[in-house]
Amino acid sequence: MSGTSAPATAHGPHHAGPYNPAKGRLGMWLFICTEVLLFGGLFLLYAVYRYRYAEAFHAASGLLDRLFGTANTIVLITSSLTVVLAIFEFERGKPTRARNYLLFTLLCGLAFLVIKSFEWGAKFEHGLYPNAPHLMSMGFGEILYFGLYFTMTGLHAIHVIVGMSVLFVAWRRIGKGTLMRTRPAFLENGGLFWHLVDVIWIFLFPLFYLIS
Amino acid sequence: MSKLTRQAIEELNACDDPDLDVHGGTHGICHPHGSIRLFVGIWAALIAFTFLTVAMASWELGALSIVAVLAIAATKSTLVFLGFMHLWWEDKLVIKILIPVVLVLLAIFIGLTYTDILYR
Repeated sequence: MSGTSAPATAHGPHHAGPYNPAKGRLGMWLFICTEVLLFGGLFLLYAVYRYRYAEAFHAASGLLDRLFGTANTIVLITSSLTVVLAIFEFERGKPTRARNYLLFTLLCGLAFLVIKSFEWGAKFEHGLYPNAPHLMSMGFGEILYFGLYFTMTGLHAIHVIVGMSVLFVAWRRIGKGTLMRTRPAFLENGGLFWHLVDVIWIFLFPLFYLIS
Repeated sequence: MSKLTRQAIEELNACDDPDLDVHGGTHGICHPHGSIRLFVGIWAALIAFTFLTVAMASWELGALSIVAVLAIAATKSTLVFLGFMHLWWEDKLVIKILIPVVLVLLAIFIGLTYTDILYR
């Protein structure tokens, strides 16, 4: 690439050179693969212990509130829809609609965390938290089940917070005009992360809440 | 970050920039993938599968139950990957095969672990 800088209007505000969103998308998908392996390792641990302590896992799963889990599944799936609609509207030149969809998505993320905090709060009240005397008096299988439950849903909740932060930045940048219709990679990749969070929950929900 | 003039912003938002076609990076830009109907349809399917999997938890399926639960979760995530995450329209083969490759890798990990704990 030559040293002479291209006109700022043709190549974006802070970098010269052709714009190729496929590169950024590849990077995002590689990151998503590492995330799949991160949670995959935890699911492997879950699978082995569920096999070893089948009855304890069944009994411990009965202590979870299915209503909370189902509500959060619906909230997260709906937020995934609104993110994909935000990208759709943004790319066809409707930034205001895109921002409204993003705002709705952020509210869904917040609702998810509020429901999750009520759920965890109820568990804490019943003496179910890592290293709690009541939990430690239960069997080895129950201790493992709740250890995995708090680790995996906690790690997932951290991902929800990160995804909300990224989407909030996208919402602000569209408002300020620094996220452009012809350069939507930031919004698209933020959306990919949000969908990943949804996919992980799609597996977490039945495996922890619906052991029959 | 340098401040943009209003004119520069308008030029970047204009979809007739010839650069967009030159470099082959026009994936989705100015021509969004899918349609509102399609995405709402996928959402409805995901909600329906959620209620199905909740209802199934009270059926007496025995050992088959975990298979059914995982099949529904796999179907739901396939819908999200292809539709919401735009893999259906992906024109870069490298990106398209990444997730299947990782899932095969994960299946090998889980399969080998199970041969270990079942036949040790």
